[in-house]
Amino acid sequence: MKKFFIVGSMSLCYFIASAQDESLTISGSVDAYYKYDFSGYRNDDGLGNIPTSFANEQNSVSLGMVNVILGKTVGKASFVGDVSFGPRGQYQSIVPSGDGNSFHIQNLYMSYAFSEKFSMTAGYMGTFVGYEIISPTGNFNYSTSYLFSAGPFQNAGIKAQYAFSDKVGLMVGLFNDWNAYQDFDGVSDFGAQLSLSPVDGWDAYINFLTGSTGTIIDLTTAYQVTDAFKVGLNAADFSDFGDSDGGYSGGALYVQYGFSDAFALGARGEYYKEKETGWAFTPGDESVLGLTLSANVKAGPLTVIPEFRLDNGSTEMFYKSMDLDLTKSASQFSLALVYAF
Amino acid sequence: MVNLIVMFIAGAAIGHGNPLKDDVGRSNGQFAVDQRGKFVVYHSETLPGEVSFSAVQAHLSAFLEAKGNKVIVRSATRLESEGSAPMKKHAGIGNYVAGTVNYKLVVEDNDGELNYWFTDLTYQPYRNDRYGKRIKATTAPIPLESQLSKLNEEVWKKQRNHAYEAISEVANQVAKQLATVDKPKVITTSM
Repeated sequence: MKKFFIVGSMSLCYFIASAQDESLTISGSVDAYYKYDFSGYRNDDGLGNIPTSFANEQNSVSLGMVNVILGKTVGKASFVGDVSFGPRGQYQSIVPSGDGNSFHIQNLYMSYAFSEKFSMTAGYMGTFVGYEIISPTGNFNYSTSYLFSAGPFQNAGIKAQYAFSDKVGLMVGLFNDWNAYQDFDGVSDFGAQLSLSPVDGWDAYINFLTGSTGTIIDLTTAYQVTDAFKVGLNAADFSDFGDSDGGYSGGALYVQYGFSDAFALGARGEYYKEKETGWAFTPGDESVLGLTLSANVKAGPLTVIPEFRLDNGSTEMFYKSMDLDLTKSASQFSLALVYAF
Repeated sequence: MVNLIVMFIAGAAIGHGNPLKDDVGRSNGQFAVDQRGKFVVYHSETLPGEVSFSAVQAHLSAFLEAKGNKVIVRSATRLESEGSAPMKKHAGIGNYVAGTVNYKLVVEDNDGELNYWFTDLTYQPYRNDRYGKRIKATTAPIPLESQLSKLNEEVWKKQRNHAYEAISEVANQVAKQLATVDKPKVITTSM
């Protein structure tokens, strides 16, 4: 019996497949820190004055998380499984499910690229809202902004992404309520993101998320002005569901300059205000200005982040000392280690 | 036109485990260095008499374009293409995860002798985004000839060796393609 092999076509198919396929990738990070609040204040949970999501435990060498990310793409299908163990990756960033369990999952989703322009993704994903992220490798500063801490961390759901061009893209999706593995209210949120890349190095995202928690409108943009100089901006407004008086608004400006491949300095200036008492961090109708100065010292895969932070409230909202006298300002120093792999 | 490549014999260095240095004493690992001081990976082969350079061009162009490369020059004796190769290994620099090495492949016909080399080599760092997905970092690609600071010098040497492995793999693929130029696309076997 004779068989015919069309060698040329087969080899071309192989080229195309190998261009798109990748073997299983494993990456992630580990991080730890020491933080000291200059007031000496420490609450019952061991936390200092400034309500950053991470770097919050007072006068303690504390853990961040071990983060392991698995990913694979075969043809048009891909998945990401992103697990985290440690305070940063559990109760500090993931709300436990109904039985009190945190499943240690930051991202768990599958994507299918129907074409180069159109793809769909379903699962549990880091939120598309905001500038800063949970992984320490994605932020320049180690402590986090008020806007990050007050906003959503993850969104579970299904979303469709369409790229109109290299410069314009749109995402729309249906999601569970914020940070919920399982939504007992049903799929209750609608979200959308318009992404723009006007020039090389400049990305901007206009984000919208509305549902059972409330409605948030968010602008996140970053511009790599030169190889060494980067500017970023985040502005957001959130209104509580069914209560137009509740919520928060604010903006944060980020500037970073790399003096060499081993040393960079960056500053974050933030204004944050809550609309009425009870949302998260400040008394109602009061605001706080935060200034954070960080250095990144990179030695191979290790980044050392010494950081100084000063927050100044519009009213007395911090503690002067363990005597619990109130004051308008609080400051802290932290030293963090982040190892990426 | 014959391109004048001033190169060190990289293969000999690999064999002796001896790192090479360019004319100003910088270590260039396993790479050869051309007259511009740029790292290159260089190969030369003799074309079989019956194979024309236009057939080589057509075959390689199809292969390269299927890989996602851009063919930028196609002349009677020269083919130039730009592309990138994924780095399977990563030495660990800052927050970056394994990225790609960008290259320009030049193929030149010199009276039946086929010279081809990879040049303009740059490392494009990648990072994990908020979805745990690897994406290009916003930083510009780093020329492999760059010298990094003392803190990252050793890691950068390793990274360049990983880049060399990635380019060598593409070079092997190109060599395999050259071996099949003008070979029949349909073969008959009996079982």
